Amino acid sequence: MLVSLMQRAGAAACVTSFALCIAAAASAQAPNAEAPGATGTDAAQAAPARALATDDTAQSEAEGANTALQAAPPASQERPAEIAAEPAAAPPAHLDATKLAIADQRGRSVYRRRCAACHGLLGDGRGAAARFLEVAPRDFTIGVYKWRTTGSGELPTDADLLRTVRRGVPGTAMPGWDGLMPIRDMWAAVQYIKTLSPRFREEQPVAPLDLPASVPQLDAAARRRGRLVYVLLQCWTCHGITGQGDGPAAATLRDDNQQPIVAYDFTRGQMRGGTRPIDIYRTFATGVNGTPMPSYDEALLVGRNGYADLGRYRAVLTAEGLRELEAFLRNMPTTEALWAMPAATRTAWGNRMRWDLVAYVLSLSDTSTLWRYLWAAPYVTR
Amino acid sequence: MRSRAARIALLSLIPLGSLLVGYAAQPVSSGGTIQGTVRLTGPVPQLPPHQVTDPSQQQACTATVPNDELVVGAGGALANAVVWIEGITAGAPTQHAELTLDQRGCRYVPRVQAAAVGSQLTVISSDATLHNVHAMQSKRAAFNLAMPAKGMRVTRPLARPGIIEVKCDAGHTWMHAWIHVFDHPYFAVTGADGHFQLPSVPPGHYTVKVWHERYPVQTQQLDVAAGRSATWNVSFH
Repeated sequence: MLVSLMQRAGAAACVTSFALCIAAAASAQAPNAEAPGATGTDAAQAAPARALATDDTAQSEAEGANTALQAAPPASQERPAEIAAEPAAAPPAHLDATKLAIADQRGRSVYRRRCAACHGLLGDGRGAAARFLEVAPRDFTIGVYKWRTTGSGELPTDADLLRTVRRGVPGTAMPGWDGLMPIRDMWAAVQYIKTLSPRFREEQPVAPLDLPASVPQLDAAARRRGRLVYVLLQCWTCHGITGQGDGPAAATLRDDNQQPIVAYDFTRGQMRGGTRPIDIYRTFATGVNGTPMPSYDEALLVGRNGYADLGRYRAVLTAEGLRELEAFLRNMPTTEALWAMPAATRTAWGNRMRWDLVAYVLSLSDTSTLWRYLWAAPYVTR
Repeated sequence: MRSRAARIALLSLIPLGSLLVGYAAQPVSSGGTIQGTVRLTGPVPQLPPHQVTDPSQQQACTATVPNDELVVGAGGALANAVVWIEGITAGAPTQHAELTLDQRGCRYVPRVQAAAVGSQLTVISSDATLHNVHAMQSKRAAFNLAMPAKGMRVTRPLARPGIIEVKCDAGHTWMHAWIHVFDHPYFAVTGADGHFQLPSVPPGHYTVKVWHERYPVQTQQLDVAAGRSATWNVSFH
């Protein structure tokens, strides 16, 4: 228990402070001393990372902690010495002197060794190996990132970038680097990646969305409600009524570069933003920058009067489906009643609908893991 | 939900910074005026309406949506053209506006508008169908928000100067709106009479530009004298 707590704290420390990361890793080294294939400082940093990767709850909580730290700068005693020594008046920046130094000293060499083959030396996504990849590597020069905790159109936080580097992007050539290189190297590469787009210099960080720290029970009742949320919010416009990405608008979708893009097929069961409930929840709340997938943030705080006109649903639902939807709407508060609630109650209500949708979307990919690995997507790494 | 106050506070730093660097507000006592009319010469193209093929969209959008890309009045007067002084560095203070963009019958109303940096944009949905407000600025999305319910509204600040193109990906490929954001007050959007007027311009030599979504931008050099009016009649064809 104590060890597990130390590891959780260690992961949070790694994201905010490299110096603390070493300290935390060193303290966690003893119980993980048998970690194979790792020596010296690399072992010290890789061990807690590997332990964390197998513990979803701990990882999700560590992410929650990171989010909190991003939102409110850590107290001075938690800061590394280099940052504390700086003038206190400087606003929080995507790239301060410390981060630039990390990017310059270690980040560039890590990037050139591990990332440039696909993402290119300049970060434009045109590395030597890029031509062999079905899914094009991210172009870091435009500064548009899909998997974030921040609002639609915004830059990601450091923790967001690190999460993607650690877990990889399933269904693409991007591997999860957890255990393949020390966290300090991933952290340094993240800092370097930020220097490749002018956006991180020109824009100030924004506070991440207030994402829930724990996952409620996603049971059969949640799945049933979630199916109606899916119908009500008209996810099927693009993703199709059966979730296979074949909705009426799917054929017209284009990404921000005007290239055709497919709507996600939920029955495939591997999601690029991650398949844990919190990953799907996050993607749904933030939207996917650079694609037609919008943010469903404020959209959840609409009551039943927003859906009084059922004409659109009549065109796609059976009589029974329509009755179910009407019963679901009768139990919804009106928009006025919703906004008369205390903010916490209102937020919880919207969050509940999102979790229900997550439960439903997960149930669409309820095929066996073996089937998925052998047939649907044998190249998926995790 | 996010801490809106903190977000707006952070975003407000950006326009403030650009105002200090790019444009200086100062009293204009003996300003001149730039005015004129934008016209379409030659035959007016008849643009066919958009056919709505998805049956689930036909109630909210109706079966055919009129094409409002070209709004031409009497004598070829061209509406929805944007006129502005390019690169002006000093002049009258900017006014923050509260813009509204309505999604009604699967069209954006108004289709073209303009405002100063620091203004607020409120997007409304009057349609009982899913829209997403996908606002592109500088080749990337400034925001992309789902609006699945009728009567829903969202507000976002217009934080950076430039042209914002708004589109809807939810099957409404014809939906386009433009919001021009300036760091100075010298801009105008033509109405049905095609007329524009930029008042209180400090005397000097200026580059004036006219934009319309269908045509290349036109540029003109104009001299503005104190208390006088400089005229530029623009014709697209």
